[in-house]
Amino acid sequence: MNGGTCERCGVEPAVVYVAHVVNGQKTERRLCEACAKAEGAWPGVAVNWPLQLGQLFGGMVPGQASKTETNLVQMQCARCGWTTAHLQQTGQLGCDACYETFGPLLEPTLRRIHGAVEHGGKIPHRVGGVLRAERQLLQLRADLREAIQQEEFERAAEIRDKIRVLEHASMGEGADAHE
Amino acid sequence: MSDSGLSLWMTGTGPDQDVVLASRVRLARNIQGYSFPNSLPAEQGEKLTAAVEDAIGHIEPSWNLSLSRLTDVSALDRQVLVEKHLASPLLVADPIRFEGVVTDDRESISIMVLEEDHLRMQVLLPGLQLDEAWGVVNRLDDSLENRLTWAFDKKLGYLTTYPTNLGTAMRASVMMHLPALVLTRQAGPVFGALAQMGVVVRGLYGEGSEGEGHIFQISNQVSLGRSEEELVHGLSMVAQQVAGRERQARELLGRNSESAIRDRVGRAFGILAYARILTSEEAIRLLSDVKLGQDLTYLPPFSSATFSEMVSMTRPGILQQMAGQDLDAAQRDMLRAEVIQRHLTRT
Repeated sequence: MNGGTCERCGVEPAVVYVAHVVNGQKTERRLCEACAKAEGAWPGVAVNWPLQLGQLFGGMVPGQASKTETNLVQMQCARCGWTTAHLQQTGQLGCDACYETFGPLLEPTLRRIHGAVEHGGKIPHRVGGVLRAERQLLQLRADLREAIQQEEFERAAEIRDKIRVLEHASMGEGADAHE
Repeated sequence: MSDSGLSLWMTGTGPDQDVVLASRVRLARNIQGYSFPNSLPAEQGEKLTAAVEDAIGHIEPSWNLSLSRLTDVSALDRQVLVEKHLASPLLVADPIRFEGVVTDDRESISIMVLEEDHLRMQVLLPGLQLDEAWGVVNRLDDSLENRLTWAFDKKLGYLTTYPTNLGTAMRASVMMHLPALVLTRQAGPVFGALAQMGVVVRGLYGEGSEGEGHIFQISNQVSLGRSEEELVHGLSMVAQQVAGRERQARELLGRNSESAIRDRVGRAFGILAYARILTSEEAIRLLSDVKLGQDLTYLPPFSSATFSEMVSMTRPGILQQMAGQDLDAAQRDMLRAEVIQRHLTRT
């Protein structure tokens, strides 16, 4: 494959093809060896997420100071002291509590990366009981709406009963968890 | 450390191994109440590693897990951990007292302690076995959770240092050998199509790829919003499709360019059989060609070694570990040629 010249430096011949997919959108770049290494896209070198994430935050990579930066309120995590500046520079958070502080800032980024903002996978056992019931309840309520829409009232009544049982159970479990 | 000195994923066999060398599923987990490794004070790091040690100590003995503190591991053995894909270069560089690696006796499991996340646990199996790897790492996660409380949010899922890993905090990947796709110039279009499916190909193709043995890592990009089973199943399907395309391309090469391919793989075999000095770059490139020749039945298989094993044995760290001594580059290049020749079958 002849890739022309490197899209980063514009001098060396491009020998590496780097493709990233974010939420179904592909970005392709053809780079020379040195630029690929510099961007962490060379095999054996961990992909440099901080840089990419910085880019996702709207060009707020150090040295690329943009208007966006000045519009951002500096926030700080009350638990670990992590700041918006830390997040911008590294693409990382400092502790689990940071997600409460910086959550709103992250949402557009999460949507862009994952195409979703809500977890749909495994639930740990320790906090699991309550959450599992909650997820089941959500599903049942959706089923109930559907049954009513389709005028299947007998089925709707059955689902409603199930919801009642589950609501009672989860309230009990919730109380236990707080003991 | 395994008895043979090599890990199960290298020496073992698995489905679709003609194309899929190995499958890996990795979960990131952080422990509630501790800062992430990037801002964890030393005394907290000590406490956290002790908690992990305790959890490992209380896990069912059949897991055969043991924790090594990286400061107790020699520089050579740390390099070997990286070459075996049991630890990342990031973790083993400049080790500190509370960083560690947990492995099992077959080196199929590894848990990096205090890399980018508190724990990164992985299961690595030979061939295409993503479902199996997920099953094992899922059970391991359950077992560790008996003593450790994970940082978890009901909306965001498992909380990770990088928001890019949120949700399942799972990365599934397959290591694939795709020489025919590269030689028939189909790798580009195939990888382009993969990119549309939320799948990332790490590696390179084109002129530079020969040096890397035509080996590519293909993994899921998305971790949030879908279940682990969906993600693992999706990547499995992708790996099967890519494997199918690679096999077609191999057939095509055999049909349309038999002489050229026979020449290429024969030359590779010839150099490997008679060279006295081989660098690791030259070795992996030639081994890749020889493997293509074997898959097309133009060359006899390696005697009692898989392709993964052959490639692994020629890595600088593993080579020295098997030799039982530190070797300089020139000594390694000679030993590498010798080791390869031991496993070539001459007709």
